[in-house]
Amino acid sequence: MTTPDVAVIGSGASAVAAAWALARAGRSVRMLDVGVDAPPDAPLVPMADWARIRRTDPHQHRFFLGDSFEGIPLGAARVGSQVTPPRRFVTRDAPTLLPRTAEGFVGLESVALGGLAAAWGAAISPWGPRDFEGLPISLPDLLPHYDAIADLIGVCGDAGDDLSPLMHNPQGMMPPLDTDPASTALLARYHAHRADLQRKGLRLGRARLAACSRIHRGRGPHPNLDLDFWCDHGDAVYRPRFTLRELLALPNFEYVPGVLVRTLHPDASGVRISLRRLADNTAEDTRATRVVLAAGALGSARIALRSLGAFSTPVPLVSNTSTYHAFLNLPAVGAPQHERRHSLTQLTGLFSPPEGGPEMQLQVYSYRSLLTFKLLREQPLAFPEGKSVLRALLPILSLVGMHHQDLPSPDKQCELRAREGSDSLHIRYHTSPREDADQLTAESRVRALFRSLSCFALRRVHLGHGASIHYAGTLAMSDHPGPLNTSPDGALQGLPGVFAADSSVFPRLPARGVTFTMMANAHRIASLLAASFP
Amino acid sequence: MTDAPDPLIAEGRLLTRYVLGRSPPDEAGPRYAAAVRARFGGSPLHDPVGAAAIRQPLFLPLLDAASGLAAPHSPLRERLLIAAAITETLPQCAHDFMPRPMPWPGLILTLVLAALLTALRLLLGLPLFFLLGGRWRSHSEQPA
Repeated sequence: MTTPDVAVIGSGASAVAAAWALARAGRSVRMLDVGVDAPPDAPLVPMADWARIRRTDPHQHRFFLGDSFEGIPLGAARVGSQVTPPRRFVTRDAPTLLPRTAEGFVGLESVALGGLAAAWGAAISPWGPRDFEGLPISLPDLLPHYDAIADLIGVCGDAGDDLSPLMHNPQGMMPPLDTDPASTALLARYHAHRADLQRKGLRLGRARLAACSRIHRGRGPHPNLDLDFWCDHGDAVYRPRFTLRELLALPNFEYVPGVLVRTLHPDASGVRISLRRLADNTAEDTRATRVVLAAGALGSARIALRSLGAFSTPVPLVSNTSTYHAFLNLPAVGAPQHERRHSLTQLTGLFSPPEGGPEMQLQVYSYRSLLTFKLLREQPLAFPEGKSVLRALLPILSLVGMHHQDLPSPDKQCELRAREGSDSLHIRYHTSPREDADQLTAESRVRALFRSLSCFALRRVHLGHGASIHYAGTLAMSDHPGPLNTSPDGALQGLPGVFAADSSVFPRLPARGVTFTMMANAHRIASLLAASFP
Repeated sequence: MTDAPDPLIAEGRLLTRYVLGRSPPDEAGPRYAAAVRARFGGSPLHDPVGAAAIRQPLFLPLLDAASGLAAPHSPLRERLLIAAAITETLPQCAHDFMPRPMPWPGLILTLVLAALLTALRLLLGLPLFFLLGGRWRSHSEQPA
């Protein structure tokens, strides 16, 4: 391929969504990516259910703990502890290649094939009309792209549940995966009290997941082996590498791994791209007529700021605050157990205060497949007693992630700081006391509603800001874009021919997860870009 | 001439046996030693509380209970976590860590027994912990 129509930077969820729209529209596409992948000698998880593997596989320590025992979490709990040894490649090399300092921020970045979505929890939450307030696009702009992405990634969920009035059900949504016994008991209890709970602002339903409950695009059906944190059996749970695999079958697509894009230089005939070839650490230039930035909200900001020479120029950064709550789910006591289950989000909840105010999203998980020993360090009993108590409580333990919206503020910013021969991103992220208090109040109200379902909170964990791994706002789109903004079609001001298509363009984050909407928006921006070629 | 026994393997056998409540499979000790070497660089427990627990195994449950309350990230608790991880991922021992659904009476009995045993161990363990120089909320070894 000579100079491609479009170079896409990155291989994460938004990058493959954009590349898919462009390539399918006939544009020639070159994807430039660092592309760290799992080592070829990584241990393979057998195709058997979790309990059978536990009882029979003598090599299970290799994938459960890692060959360097890196899967044993020592010290206080920290961000990324859900990234299991087989998925550790997702964050490998990022701290070296993407240097960063931070105040009040603990987020993760990735230079892996598939980006952070290579370890995505796969819960999808299409945004509602209110979630687009302050954006130059609205829900109708994204609806066809939600459907296109749902077809690409495969989505399952219950189209007739209590979330449906608040959430777009994409066309072709497959039937939901089975919920595990604890979540089934909780949902039954919710249904028995639904009118009262809805009046108080709480709705629960089965999680919408980027997972195939039947065969879709050669993937799935989900094998229900409860191994989703460890492997991708059946390719049922979406990973960007699956779209990359489809892209590689197209003649107008090329994937170039092993390169780190440094700067973009628009000129009369397109964009010159300066990159570093990582194998031999050499600098190199390549060209494209247009460039789509999809290196993540932080990665794309780095490239844009560096290209514009905008050092020490702060740009906004938003990130959902997420906290995790362990609940004793008493309706599940004595519930019959079964092996057929998945490890992803079981239930999704939306809490909207009846008197108005920001929505909060809930994600309900059970705890089993991440192994019991990790919880032993979180409890104060001696290990033998702790083990005995945990074994008894695990079948009735529900973990609820509570996710809050985030709005920009002068205390949430990042800037690129020049260092000798290099640069580093500095993040300063502090929420206001008012935000903290409002979030605590909302969480307290949800805990009270769960108490009415006989679910009792044991503990709240907040790993720090950035732990949600949802970042946005660094190149925010606007109807009246200024410097370092993007226009509604993704065009980045100051860099003609460069378009941002990842979460960097969202000036605020609603409580609902960003990944599915980010992919739909990347598809929208890429479709507009594809149509703009003569 | 015989090689001197690896003190880390001996430590591993002791701690995995304690966590499991019975003799662990042979591979538990060497795998524990490998994990400690990988994560901490590999010396046996040498802080006063941890060393006392290893030297006098009768103290181990008392000091574990006291550390769980007073110093949850102390070296002894971190080593016990490694021992638990090693035993849980041995197929012969996995069952000992798997969820055990039980009806209300069994659940209540389990919780009450654990509470009583913990109270007893804390009664003896906390004074011992402080006598040995244990410090409130002391920190872990630095992982390698």
